Order: sequence, then structure tokens, then C-alpha cells
Amino acid sequence: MILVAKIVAIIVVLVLVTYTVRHILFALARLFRRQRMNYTDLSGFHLPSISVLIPMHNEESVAPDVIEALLEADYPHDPDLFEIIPINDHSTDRTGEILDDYAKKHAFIKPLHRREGLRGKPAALKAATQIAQGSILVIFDADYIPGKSLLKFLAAPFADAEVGAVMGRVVPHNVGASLLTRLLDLERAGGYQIDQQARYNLGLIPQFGGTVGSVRRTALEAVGGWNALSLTEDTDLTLQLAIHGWKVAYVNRAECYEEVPETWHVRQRQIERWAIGHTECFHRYLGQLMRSKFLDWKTKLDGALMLGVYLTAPLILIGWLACTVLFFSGQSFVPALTAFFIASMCYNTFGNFASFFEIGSSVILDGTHRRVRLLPLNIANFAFSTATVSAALGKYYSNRMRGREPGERWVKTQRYRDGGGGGTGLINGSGDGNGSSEGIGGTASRGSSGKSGASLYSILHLEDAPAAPVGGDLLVSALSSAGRQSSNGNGHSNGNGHSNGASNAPPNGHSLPAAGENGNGHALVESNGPASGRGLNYLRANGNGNGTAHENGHNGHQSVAGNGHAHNGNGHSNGPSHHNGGGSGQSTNVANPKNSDCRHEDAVEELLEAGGKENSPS
Amino acid sequence: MGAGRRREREARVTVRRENIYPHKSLRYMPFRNLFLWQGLIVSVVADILLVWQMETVLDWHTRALQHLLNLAEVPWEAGRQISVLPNLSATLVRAPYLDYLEHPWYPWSFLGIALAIFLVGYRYWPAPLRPLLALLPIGLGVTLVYLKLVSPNLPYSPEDFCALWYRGETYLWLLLPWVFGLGLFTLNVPFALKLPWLVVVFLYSVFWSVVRLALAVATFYYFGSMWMPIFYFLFGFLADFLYVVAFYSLAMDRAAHFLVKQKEVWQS
Repeated sequence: MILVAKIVAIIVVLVLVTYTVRHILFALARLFRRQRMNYTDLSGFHLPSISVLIPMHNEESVAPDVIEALLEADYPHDPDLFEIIPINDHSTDRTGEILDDYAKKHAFIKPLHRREGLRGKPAALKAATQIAQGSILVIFDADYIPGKSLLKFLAAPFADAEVGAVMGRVVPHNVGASLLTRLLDLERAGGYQIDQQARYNLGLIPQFGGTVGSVRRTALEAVGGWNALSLTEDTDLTLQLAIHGWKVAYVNRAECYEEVPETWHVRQRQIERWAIGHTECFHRYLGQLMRSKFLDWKTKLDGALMLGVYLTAPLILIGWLACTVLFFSGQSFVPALTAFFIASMCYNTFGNFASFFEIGSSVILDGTHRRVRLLPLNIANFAFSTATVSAALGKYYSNRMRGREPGERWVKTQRYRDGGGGGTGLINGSGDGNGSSEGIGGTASRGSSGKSGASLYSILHLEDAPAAPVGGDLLVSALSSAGRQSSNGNGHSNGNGHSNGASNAPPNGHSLPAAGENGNGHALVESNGPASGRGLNYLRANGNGNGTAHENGHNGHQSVAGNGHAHNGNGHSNGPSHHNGGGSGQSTNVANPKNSDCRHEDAVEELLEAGGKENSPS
Repeated sequence: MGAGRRREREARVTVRRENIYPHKSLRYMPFRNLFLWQGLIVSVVADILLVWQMETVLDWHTRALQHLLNLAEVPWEAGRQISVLPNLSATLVRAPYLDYLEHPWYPWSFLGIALAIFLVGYRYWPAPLRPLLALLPIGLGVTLVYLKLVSPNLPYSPEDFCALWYRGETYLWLLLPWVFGLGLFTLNVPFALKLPWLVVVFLYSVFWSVVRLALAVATFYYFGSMWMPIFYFLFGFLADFLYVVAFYSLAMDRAAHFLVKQKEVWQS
């Protein structure tokens, strides 16, 4: 018994020391080595045809954001070069309608509605790949907000014929939401800025993350396509590509914003899925990886360590158990026992994916220093991850041994962006507000006066409004949470939160001014008052806002003016870049965020005179 | 000719300074052998100094422990001498501990209280604290099982526990310079931003070690040896690495703060 415990403790120590050394080498390589060419010089020069695939399941609160952001992308909007395929994957909310609205306005947006068959991201990607026309498939999750030039960065490396997939950097945008999001921000920084880039520098296998990534269609087909049954199709594809000799490139410059879990429960579901999917890949590909003739021994070793990373959690528990046995046996003077604790704590106190050394180095490179002070609190993350992953893998192996389904199937990660309540049509706003609207030339108009009580949340039911305008009808709801003009500045920078433009607009108020789409009416919305809300970038701007909006659908004249005061900053200011109403449009927005942290203070954007279908961004 | 070269060099310098500040995704720090050597030399010198002065440090540690035990009104006497490293010994402290044969309800009370705390915490405390919280009743429960089924006493006396503690802490103190030598000293920041952190973390480590050990011995005296695994597993190396990382994070914070203002240290 004691001998077994000693042997187990020593094995665990060796494994953990290996991971520790690996992380230290990565951090040193990233900090001090010349960075490997990442093809950013080719950005904009190599423009293959791309298909952007966005799996969506009940994503009405975030769907407009990612599409608006992609509409802003500087990739040529030539239908031969660029198409967006949002995949409505068994949604039961308004996701499908939102996508169809966009499709009516943009020929290169081709929604795929899936109402039958296996649900889940891999299955959705598999279906979308069959109709995609592009030679490169770019994948985003629905909660991601790609920057303007991201597509060019993700497409450029494919100039190299050996590159099969490209991965970009993921940056959380809801960092300030909770302790968890702050810890995940540290983990992401270490994982991407250091770990992924170092792997790429060292010629190892950067992991294709399944979002903010692109894959060459021929490479995908060569390795058998998406594994629809996988829980982690990204790891699956990474391994398949590497084993078959394709390169995975990492472009650190290709930064994309994501929404990380804000609650521990959601985080738990997420890492359970990752742990099971990753471990499935471990069993599926470890042998093939070791036999691959395209990889050298260093890459194979690193690939094996990458595949086995989730197994370290139960390994730690086993090591702990062995140490308990040794302790009660009076054997604790054994040096291995001491070494075990030193090694395990060194590596694992600080997260499963990035050691404290990597996180510290990422802070140096990013120049964002204050956040690193939270590093010791990562012990909470460590304890939580170790327990969760161990439980998930226990269930996985138990099911495996009994011949059952290895684990739960694909579960979507919860979204937090303020979507006004999604399908229920509820919007939470705070503060006073006044709203009115007038319809001219059409039949109905709807305006609601604001509720009073600055500190109260007002809940506005929109369900009693007609679902869609007919003919010349024009419906505009002026929300009581006035001043919350969200006109989708640049598609992904809303200063002062959200408002609902029209009763048939998406409840999160991203201006799909469908009200004016078919109508001849004229609407005026005026609103002002304190408001709070969350913009899209770095978000949580609270403050006062005044806004007026004029919409004239068929005649194609739109204008929006707003003054926003962001007290808590961090929000980008407004710019109503996208008004997708028919006809030519005109809109103006003035945003004056005040107080400290705002990123784009005093942004004044005036748009637009766009004589075509849509207004171009300022 | 000389003037021409000078002008050329000045032009190069000008161009160099007007270079675009590299994007954070591409920049890296020029590796300087000087800093690697600095880290290695500091680590070696610090360890030599430590080994040289270790007896003094351990002696102070023992005296401070005795003083704290006096404050806690825990009776103690000088224990045996152990060899911590070759040619390096430390004097232990011998203290009594609560005998559960005289107070048989104590272990059950502790376990009950720990369980109650865990259940309340599980209901109301944040999820990440639950696994840590669970370690308390698990540790006490396992010890109770051992005490009831295997032996009425743990294999260690408080004096043995001191020996364990002294050895572990000594190894840690010797490891500290290497952690900082590798993680901090290799960075392109002034020596004055590096060395103080190493000194501070070492001083803190010694001080905090005494406090925790005194707390442990006092707990054994008042509440019995049942708490020994808790102190060993939770308040030992786990607590050590928490403050090591805390100081490391502060050091990196300051280093990053300095580097942000020094654009020329980056290359792309």
C-alpha cells in the first residue's frame, strides 16, 4: 500500500513537473524569442473567397451584433469573395426572423435554418459547410464581435499552401462583470498571448479554437470534415489537421472579443463539456498522433500534453490521495511528498490552461498591469476547475465502461449581453424617460411615455404591439428607458446601452429599423432621460442620454441624434453606422460620454449620405 | 568620411526612434544575457547566503515560535535537534496536545461544526469556495476514521510536526530565489525593481512561517492532533504558494508599469 502510494506520488510529481517546465519554456520563448512570421504582412493582399459560418441557437440577443460587426468588416463585400452563413440551429426565439431580415438587405448573407437533425455546433457547421461557397471557412460563435480587419488577418495565412487552419486571439469583453470574468481574462491572456503564440513560435501545434478561426475547405475535406458527434470539434479538427500534415497558424494580431461566462454555474457547464470532449479526443487521436509521419518528437510530445491537459485534474486528486496515505503511514518525510506539493501547487494553483508564469508574462507584453494583482485568487479557479473536471471525467469514464453515451451532448453556453429579455419582449431600463412617436402617412404609431422613478427598473411589455408593420404602417416604440439610443455605431460600439427602435425590431434594440422598411410613414422618436445599459464593447455604461430619431422608411431618410453620458465609462461611444432601412438613409449621432474611463470620449459621428441600400460607417 | 558615417548613424537612430511602436501581439523583449546571468547569480548567491545563515534564521524562527507560544499560553520545552540539510541543524519545540481519550466528544464536535459550516457555505457561499470548504470536513473526517479505526494517536507528535514544517520551509526558502530569478530577473527592468521583491518575499515567508507554526502547535494543544492534517495540507505549501504568487503578481505589476513607459525595450 505504502509502496503503491509512493509510486503514484512520484508519477504525479513527474507529470506535473513536465507541465510546469512546458509552461516555463513557453513563457520564456514568447517573451524573448523573435516572433515567428504570422502572415500579417499579407493581410489585405491575399483575399481568398471566404464563407463566415456562425452557428446560432436562440441567439436573438447577440445575433445582430456579430452580423453588424461583420458588415463593418473591410473584407470586400463582393458576393464572389464573401458570404455570411448564420446558422439558425433549432432556435425557438426570433433568431431566424432576425437573420431573414438581414438576408433581405444583403445578398451575401445566406441564413441556414436547421429545424431537423442533430443539434449542436459541430452538426451545424457540418451542414453549413455543405452549402458554403468559399474556399476558406471562417467560424465565429454568435457572441463574438469581430473587429473590422479581422477577416483579412484570418485569411492572409492561407497564402501559404501548407496552412490548413488559422486561429486568432480571443479577448473577453465583459471583463468587469464578476470575479470569474476577471480570472478568465487572466487565463485567456496567458493562454493566447503566451501559450498559443509560443507554440506557434516553436513550431508546435497551436490549437484551433473553433471560433475566431478559419479553415481551408480542402484541408477540412481531406481530413473528413467536421465530427458532428464531437463535443469539442475544434480540438478534433486541430488534431486531424496536424496528424495529416497540415499546419495550424496562430495570428496573435487577429483579436476578437468574446463574452466569457459570468457565473460559476455556466463556467461549470462549459468546462465539463470541454473536459469530456477533449478527453474523447485524447483517446481518439493519441495513437494516431504518435504514429504521424508528419510530426517530429517534440510536436508529438507537446500534442500529447495538450490532449491530456484535463486529465491532470483527476491526477491531482489521485496524488493527493496518495499523499494522504503516506501521511497517515508516517511516511511524510519522503522527499517526493514535498516535491509533489511544490510541483502541484506551482503549476495548478493558477489555472489549468495557463500557469502563473505565463499569465505574468502576458501582462508584461499586453502592458495591462493592474489586473495581474488578482493572480493569487486564481486558487479559487483552480479548486473549482479541479473538482468540476474530475467529476465530469469520472462520469465520462463511468459511462464509457458501462457502454453508455460518454457524456452530455452539446450544450450552448449562456449569453449575458443585455438583450432586453429576448423573446419575452421585456426590457429593463432604469430611470426617467419620455418618449413619443408620430406616424405620418401610415396608420399606426406607438409611443409610450416613460416611467418615472430614477432608481427603479421599468419593465416595458412590447407584446401588445403589432408584430410587424404592414404596408405603409410604421410602428415605432419609444422606450421609456429613453436616451438609450443604440444605433449600432460601427456595428459594435454602443455607448449608452440599448433601446428598442421598433416593435418588430429585435428586442435588444439593435437598430434594425424594420419599421421603416416597407412604409411610407414618417416617424419621430424623441426621448431623453437617465438611462443605464450595457454597450457592446467593454460595456456597462451608465448614464444619461438624450436622443432623437427620425425615421422615414421608404423615402430612405433616417437620422438619429443622441447625447450619451457614460458615467462608468469603458463604453465606446456611439456611432449609428448601420441603418438598414430601405432606400437611402441619413443619420446622425452625437455622443458625449463623460467621466474618466471612456474609450472614445467626445465621439461625434455624422453620417451619412449613403445613396444605396445601407449607410456606410463613418 | 567620419562625418558622413556619423550623419548616417544619426539618420539610422532617427529612423529607429520613429519606428512604429510594435503592436502588443508582435512585440517581444530583447533577451539579454546580462539579465539571465543576473538572475542566475542572484539565485546562487541568495542560496549560498541562505545556507550560510540558515542556522541563524532557523534559530530566530525557533525563538520567535517560543515567544508566540508563550503569548498563547502553550507550555513548551526545547525539543530534539534535527538535521535539516547536511551540516545544518535546527532545534525543535516540544509541546503537549489535547488527549482525546479524556475528551472523547471533541473530535465529533469538530467534525459536526465543520460539516455545519460546509453545509451553510455550500448553500450561501460562491461556488469556487465550495471545494476548498469541503476539504475541512473531509480532512477531519478522514482523521477521525483513522483515530477510531487504526490508532488513537496520529503517527506524529507536535514535535514531529515541527520537524516536517522546518524541512519543508527550508526547501521552499531555497527555492524562492529560483522562482524569482527565472520569472522576474530575466525581464528588462532595473535591478532595483527586482531585488527588493526577492528580499521582501523571503522576509515575509519566514515571518508567516513562524505565525502559522505557532498557530498549529497552539491548535494541537487546545483542540488536539485532529487538526494536524488540515495544517499540513491546507496551511502548509498551499498557503506558501499563495503568498509567493501574490508577491510575484505585485512584482509583475510594477515591472509592466515600468515597461509600458519604456517603448524602446520592445522589438518586433
